[in-house]
Amino acid sequence: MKVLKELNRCSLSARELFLAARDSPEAGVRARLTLVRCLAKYQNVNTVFKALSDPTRRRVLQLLRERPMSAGELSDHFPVSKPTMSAHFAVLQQAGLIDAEKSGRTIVYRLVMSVLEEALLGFAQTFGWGPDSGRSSRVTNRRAARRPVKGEA
Amino acid sequence: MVPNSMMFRAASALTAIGVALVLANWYAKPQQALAWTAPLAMFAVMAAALWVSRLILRRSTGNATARRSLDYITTAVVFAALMMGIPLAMTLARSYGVVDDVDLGRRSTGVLIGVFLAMLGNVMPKHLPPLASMGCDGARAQAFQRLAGWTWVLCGLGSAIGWLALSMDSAETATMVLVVTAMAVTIVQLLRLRRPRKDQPAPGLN
Repeated sequence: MKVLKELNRCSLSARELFLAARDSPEAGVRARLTLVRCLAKYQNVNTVFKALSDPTRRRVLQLLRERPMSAGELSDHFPVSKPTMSAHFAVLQQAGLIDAEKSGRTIVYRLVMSVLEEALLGFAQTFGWGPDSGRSSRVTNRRAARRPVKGEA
Repeated sequence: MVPNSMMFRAASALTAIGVALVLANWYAKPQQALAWTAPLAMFAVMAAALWVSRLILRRSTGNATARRSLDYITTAVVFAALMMGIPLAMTLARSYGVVDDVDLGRRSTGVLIGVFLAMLGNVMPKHLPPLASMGCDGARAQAFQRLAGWTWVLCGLGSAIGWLALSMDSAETATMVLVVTAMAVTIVQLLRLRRPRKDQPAPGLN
């Protein structure tokens, strides 16, 4: 528990980590864990996995694979409120998977995924990452199927 | 503004190690003095590039473009120093009789070049120009960059695996075939991108 609390700090310099590791074995383990956490933060890995763990966000990425789309166009594909979609866009943007560009009064989103991130998306889609993602994606698909397509009605 | 210290330190350290390796090789084989001046000059250029870019970054306050440029330069210097440092270390080891394998240096350099190509391809789809400045359809440009990224990642990984697993001659041929194929695919796709599509004549997002 103490180690977990220490993990949340992540403010030690490399020299402090080295000295801590030298002084005591317990501190050494803690220092190594902190270093791993610092590296994970540096690599932005956490945010990418978090972004890919949600089926709605994965669907957004799949839609953006085809072409850049405005926020409204993307929202039309999902049976959720616009603020919820905005939150999803923010998570994706924070992870560096999509890029927003203002065009007049609309915001256009486009994909800026690296090849590795795209491969991760493929894995996530295949194996259904995230808590009860299978159920939520089924629900989303069912709701989307019930919803009339814009322009058809 | 402080540069990305970890990468910058790695680049500086590798450049210094490279210079030390060149001097050690020079000491071991003084009769080839002329041959050692070329890598020495290249390491000097790398050190100068690092120093100048750091100076420029310090003068620019809060400029994200300058930071990105320094990141590119430091990454390039790290890979260049590794590509030159590994054969230099192998040559030095051979001249002192530590290593007998003649091909080890070439193999390791080949693997490194493959990894470099894969890393370059990996970040290729991330660098898209602004939609407004595009001279073609945004969707097509995105598709081109994704395809180019995948092509170069697969080429780089194939090349690295080839240098690890195949014989020297086969690895050289395989690398050549892979790189030429990747270049051909990229150029063909780029030419197709420049050709205007009949159904979507307007540039940018439609």
